[in-house]
Amino acid sequence: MPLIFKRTSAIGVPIRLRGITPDGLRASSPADVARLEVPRGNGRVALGDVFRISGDVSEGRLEFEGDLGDIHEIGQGMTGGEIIVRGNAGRHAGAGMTGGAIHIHGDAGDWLGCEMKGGLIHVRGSAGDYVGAAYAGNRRGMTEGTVLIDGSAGSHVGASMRRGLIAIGGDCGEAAGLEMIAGSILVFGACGRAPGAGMRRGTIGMFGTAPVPLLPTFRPAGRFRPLFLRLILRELERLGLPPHEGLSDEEFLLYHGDLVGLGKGEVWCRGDGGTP
Amino acid sequence: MTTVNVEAGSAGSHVESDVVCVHCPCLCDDIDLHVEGGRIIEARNACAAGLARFLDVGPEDDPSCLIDGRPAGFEQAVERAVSILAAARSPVVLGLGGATCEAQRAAVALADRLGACLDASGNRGDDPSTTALQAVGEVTCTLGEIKNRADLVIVWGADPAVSHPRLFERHVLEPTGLFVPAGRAGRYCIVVDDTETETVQTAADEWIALRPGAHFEAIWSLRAMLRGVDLDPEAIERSTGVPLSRWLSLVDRMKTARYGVLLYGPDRLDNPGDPSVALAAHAFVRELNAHTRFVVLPLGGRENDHGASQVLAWQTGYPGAIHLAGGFPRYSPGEFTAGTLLGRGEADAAIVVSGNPNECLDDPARAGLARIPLIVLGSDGDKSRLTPAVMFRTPDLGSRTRGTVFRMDGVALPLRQVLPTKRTSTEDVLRAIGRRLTADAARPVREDRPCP
Repeated sequence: MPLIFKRTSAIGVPIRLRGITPDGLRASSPADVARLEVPRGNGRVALGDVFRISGDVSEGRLEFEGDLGDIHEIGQGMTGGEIIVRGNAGRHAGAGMTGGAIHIHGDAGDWLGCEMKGGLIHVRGSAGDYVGAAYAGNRRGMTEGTVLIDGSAGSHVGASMRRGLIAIGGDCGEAAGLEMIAGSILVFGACGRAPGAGMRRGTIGMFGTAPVPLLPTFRPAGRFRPLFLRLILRELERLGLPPHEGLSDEEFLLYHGDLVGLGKGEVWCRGDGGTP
Repeated sequence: MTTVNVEAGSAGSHVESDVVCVHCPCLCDDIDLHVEGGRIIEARNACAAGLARFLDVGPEDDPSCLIDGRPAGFEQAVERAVSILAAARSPVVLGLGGATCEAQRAAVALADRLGACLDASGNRGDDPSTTALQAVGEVTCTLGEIKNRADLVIVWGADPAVSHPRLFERHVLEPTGLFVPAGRAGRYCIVVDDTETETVQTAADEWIALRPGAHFEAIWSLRAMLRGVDLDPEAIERSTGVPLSRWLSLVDRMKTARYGVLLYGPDRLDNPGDPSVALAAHAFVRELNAHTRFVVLPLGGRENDHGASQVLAWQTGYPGAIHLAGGFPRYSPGEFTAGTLLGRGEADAAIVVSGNPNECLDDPARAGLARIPLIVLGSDGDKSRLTPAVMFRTPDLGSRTRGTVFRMDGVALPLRQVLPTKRTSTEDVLRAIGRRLTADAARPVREDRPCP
């Protein structure tokens, strides 16, 4: 049985759940957890004042029920176990996590999985800006792990990411893969301005049918049918991303870039892709 | 600096020379003010906007403190401010640009005491030029260096003829410099913009008319050209609206300049979420230095905004978008930016320090500000159209305040008080609130030493 956090009260000022992870709460009873205090604005609040807490954490699972859109840093830095959010999640969910899984059955805020080093995040709704990106002033975004988003995502997806996979079922905003060092970003919908700007290595798959507004600093390198896309799609389906029929037989336009950087990155554009 | 009596024997009529004008971040320090009967009646050398600002300084007839719009004593006002702040769980300190560095420092100390969110520039705590500075660095210089050395001036997406009226006259284009003896004739000015600005009409030798909004694409392509990458002419013209050959000749001119400067307007070019033009500009100029000396200077901010980022970075390690809850500074541009914090309704009280937030906040942020109790410090409280719970009218920054301000190129200038004041300074109001908070909470806090 998981440890269940049922949201009972509105809080006005947001709270941060840093440290409230399956491994962090190991061997705590619901009453112990209810007494734990977390930061709220310039003060602190006991978890028991915000949630009704039941169950136990022996299985290494936490379940949050209710809208947690104003509750941030859910699963931040977690190393293992599972967190399920039955509602929206706030900012920085899963940031810096090294292992385990977070399932969000709603929307996620900005900085989802920022600088994560391992594990899985699956958002059934949409996510905000800076998914898997680097924090301001830092050099590297996510270095390992998988982020799946069934809906769409905001701007700067995977900015400066080093390794790992981000798959977005819907659209994504501007500057996806900005300055990415390596890793993979797959977008099944439309994408915003300047995808892959400054990318050094890595792969961006643009699987939407709309033209991709690539920068002129990407060079066409032919058409191809990537065989390994079948493996990736099968894996994504296994992880729970809704299937995309027929995509594995598609032919893609391949672009190399970004030529202002190392130029070893590749962008696959479906159908009528390419520069605007 | 000298004080000259123009009419011997007539008390209160004199000329103050070399006064600093705080209208824009150029902070022209060659203004001669003619003061008569406690008012400024002339400001020689000032631009039209600077002159208007000096002439606009009225007598301090209004009550210094207001509580809910009604005149009140200083102690009562401090008490009311303290009662609001003591109850606040998520206060925010914003504004700061219209205050001296000394007052900004007092604001940092108060924010630290409150565990508040602290942001310098209203909506733009995620200042794109700062983010670019962090990501790629900045090859920069002082305005004096531009005056003495620059023979190529590129103005990108900015209109300094309006926003920085005397920048060209004093520093960038007109003056003769040590290594530019011919003055204006020895310099070439290219404006790259998508609109025909006043700078295009009055200062440019050449205007490259960009496809609207294609600033990032253009600078990014220039970076590739500088590296000698062959680009598709059709793609370049489609994405930037300018033929490749024109860009190539611009790159050639930049590479062969003796000393080039790129001035850009981060406030106009960058929208949150878009790929950052500032980042592109800083990276481009850094790469240009493999060929010649080239510098980049953002033309952003107002009044002492630059001082605010200097003071915040000095005191907390970060230039803005700081949260001090938990007892240590956390930095998150876009999250702890005052505008976004207010827009999301996450603040429950605000101290507006000498700035008109309506000028730099967007609609959701203004609506957020209207919903919470406000403590406003400012000389132009009536113009800000805010309805503060507590209002402290403070001395005018440009004429009744003494302190330190920072020019756009990071040069600190002393601000002189040329008119007397009967109001309490911004710094003293903030310190009084902090002292009263401490006394009420009876908790020991770090006492700030006065600024030397």
